[in-house]
Amino acid sequence: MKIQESVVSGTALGISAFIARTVMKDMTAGISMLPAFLLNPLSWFFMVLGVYGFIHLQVALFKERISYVIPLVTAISIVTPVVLSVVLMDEFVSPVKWLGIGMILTGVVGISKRKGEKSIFTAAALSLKKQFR
Amino acid sequence: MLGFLFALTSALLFGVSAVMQKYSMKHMRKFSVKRIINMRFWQLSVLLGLGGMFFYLAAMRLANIAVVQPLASLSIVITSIAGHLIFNEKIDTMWFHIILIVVGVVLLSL
Repeated sequence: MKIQESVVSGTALGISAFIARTVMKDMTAGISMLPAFLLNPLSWFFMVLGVYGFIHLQVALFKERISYVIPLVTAISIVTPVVLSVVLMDEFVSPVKWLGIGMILTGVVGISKRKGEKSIFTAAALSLKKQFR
Repeated sequence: MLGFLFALTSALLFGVSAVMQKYSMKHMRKFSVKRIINMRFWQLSVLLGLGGMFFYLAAMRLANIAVVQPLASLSIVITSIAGHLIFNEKIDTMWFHIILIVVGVVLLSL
């Protein structure tokens, strides 16, 4: 499934961005934050996930069209931290932002659904089913 | 104003970096991390991407996320246009969805 690489890349980069935001939340900006950042185990998780997402992005770019991969990866990596903030941190998201998330997801589904190919959600469901079989 | 310019520069660098990465893989038959790491053009694209990250973080310090995020999402438009012009990709029916994503990003940063 060609779509899988883009979804994995976008999700990994999105989770990585969420972790970076969580780690840096209570830090004061500047070069002095670097030791504290590197000493936090979550920072290493952020870096590993970032590299993992980047490698999958390269595989996706190799296999698929750029006008298909970049919108998908960018959209998923933007929505993922917001959804994680709501689910894990109980953050408030305004109706306008939910509308934005809805529009991004509609765009993602629209781009991913092409003639003769499965939509992003069907591909994700099939991928999960395969994992648990 | 500087934050706006930095965000715009970061979108441009991200977009160009992705296009260069795609271009460097154009003649590759099989994907290999070892091979792409050794490509000068790919290395340059990663450097540009890192430059984009630097400008993005600098823009975030200087301007509001409501300004930075929508501008950074312009890299989607840049790569789509490049995909059409450089790689002859058909994007006629995709425009609506690309615009939907960009407007969605703008709403998300409000």
